[in-house]
Amino acid sequence: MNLKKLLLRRIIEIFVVFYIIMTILFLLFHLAPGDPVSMMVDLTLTPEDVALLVAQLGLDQPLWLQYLYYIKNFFTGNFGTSFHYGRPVIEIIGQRLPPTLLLFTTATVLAAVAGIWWGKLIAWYKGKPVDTGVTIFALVCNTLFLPWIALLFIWFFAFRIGWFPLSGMMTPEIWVNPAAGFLAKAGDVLHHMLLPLMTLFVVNTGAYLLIMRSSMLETLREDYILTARAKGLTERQVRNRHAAPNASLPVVTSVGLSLAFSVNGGALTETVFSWPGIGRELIFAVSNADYPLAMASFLFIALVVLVANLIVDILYAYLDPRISYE
Amino acid sequence: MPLLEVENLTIDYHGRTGAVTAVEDVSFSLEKGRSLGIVGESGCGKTTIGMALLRLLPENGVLRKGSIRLGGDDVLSLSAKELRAFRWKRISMIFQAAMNALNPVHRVGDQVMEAIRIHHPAFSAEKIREEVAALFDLVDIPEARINDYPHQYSGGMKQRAVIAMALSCRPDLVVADEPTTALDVIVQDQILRKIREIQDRLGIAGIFISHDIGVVAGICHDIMVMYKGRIIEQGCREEVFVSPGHPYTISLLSSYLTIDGVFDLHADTAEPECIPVDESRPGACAYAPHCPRADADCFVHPPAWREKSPTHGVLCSKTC
Repeated sequence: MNLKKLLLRRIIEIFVVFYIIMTILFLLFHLAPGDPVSMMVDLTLTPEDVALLVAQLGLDQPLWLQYLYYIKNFFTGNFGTSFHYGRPVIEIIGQRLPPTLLLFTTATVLAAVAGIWWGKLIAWYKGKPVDTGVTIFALVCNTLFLPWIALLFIWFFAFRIGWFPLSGMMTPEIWVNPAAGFLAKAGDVLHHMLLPLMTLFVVNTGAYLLIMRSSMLETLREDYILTARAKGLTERQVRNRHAAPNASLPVVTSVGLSLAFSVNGGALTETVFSWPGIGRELIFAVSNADYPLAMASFLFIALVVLVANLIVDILYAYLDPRISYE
Repeated sequence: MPLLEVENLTIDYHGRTGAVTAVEDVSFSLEKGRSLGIVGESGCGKTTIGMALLRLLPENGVLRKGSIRLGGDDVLSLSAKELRAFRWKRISMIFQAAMNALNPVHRVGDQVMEAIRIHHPAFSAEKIREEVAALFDLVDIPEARINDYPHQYSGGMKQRAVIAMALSCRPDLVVADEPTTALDVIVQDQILRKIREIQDRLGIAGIFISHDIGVVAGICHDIMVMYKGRIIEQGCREEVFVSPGHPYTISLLSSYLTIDGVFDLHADTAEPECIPVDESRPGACAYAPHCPRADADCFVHPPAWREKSPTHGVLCSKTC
């Protein structure tokens, strides 16, 4: 009952935040130097043609009217046509968003689960050499510059020993072959995905591990841990049932926070691995002044981050019963 | 044979600057169904004794000397597996700050059930649920609240739930470490009565650890007063209260105000001005610097254990 109320409140909040983001984006695009028409103009166009183009795009209308059109278009699902591709923007987003979601959700979930698991174990060996070693290793991994380690991995695993493809998400031969079944296709994507996954895993797991470790150490000092021990539980039961659920809460929070950052880090990762995702598309759209595509990419990335945070909130409320009653 | 026998218990805490003796040469015994109160100021070692009974001393706590026997079993020689079976089933504990003794992310009922399930693996889920319902009834928590989380309980309810949990495996002995410190006086009184009532009904022995001699006075058969890791006075309640032998006990009793002011009558209870003392002198009476009766002898020689009666002993050379 209370969880429902919490959810409803969060969803309303998301709408409000999203509306604010939309408005800021609109203003930013209008404040930015240059305009869409100048990008399309070439020397063969007469000034009349240019004026016609401006009128076609509605750029001669007052700003408030443009804003209303913008809002209306969004809610009617009309995102315009990409200047570069000449296709509806929504189609391009539809193609680019799923690969990004696939790669980054998998990477985040894997890193968080591994970080929680290892952090939990390593907290048990506090002060021992293995604890010191893992802590230092995690710190080093966490500070690695992602494109650098990505290039290193590509050079070694894809180029030198050839275990993985150099770039991309799929092998064209498999995808045009009508005989290839779902499994073959899924396997192909997985094969392409392993290297970027590995990179993201190496860079992200360390942070989660360190948060979990220190959170565990704090939780282990709690009185209810003493109670659990006094009850005759094994150390393993104390760790898994009484310490870990409480200790993992800060990790969940940090997953929510890092999702927003994984989008810009994501653009880098996608570029290095030529992963056909929305981050790379966004960079492309911005550098080519493909206004409709850039705008829609921004909006959808924002939407994804908001929804992901909602999921984290639900998870949090599930893990900590105190949350939904506040 | 007494239920619990503790002999010459000596416990050190190892820190960066060396070892500190928290409990020194403590011996006592407890009969089945009786209650013992351990009183003393913070740091006198009373909680350490409680922890040692369950072998729950922190990593830097070392049991240097002594023995603990419960019903004839040597607690200190139990293997890890035997120890887990021993904890809660033979001795359970009501912890200091019970507010935090319940895990916030698990339902209260589940936490009680967990204890029963560990020690009675043969019990069916249905049987365990019935047990828990009966326990909650015993401590006056409505059955409907079993599946609540700790934060939905009031302070007094949490404390009662912790008591229910401590009794869940029908232990021989319950150690209650400051069971009511965080509660207001009215709730405190209810809780203490409840513990005593259940204890009598189930024939469970109890050790009540408190800094408040008033708390212990109302519910214990025997009283043990500690100062700086040592027992300085030991006896049954009436003896200790009516004819306290140690100056520290007298001073404790007089700080516990009663309406008729009965403990205010002692004239020699005021703390004297601090007398500089060479702390390193081994064996000398630790209370001597604060003691109104102390003379030069007290600062040099160890205090003697004087027996005022077969059940009443005092660690003070100046007591007659």
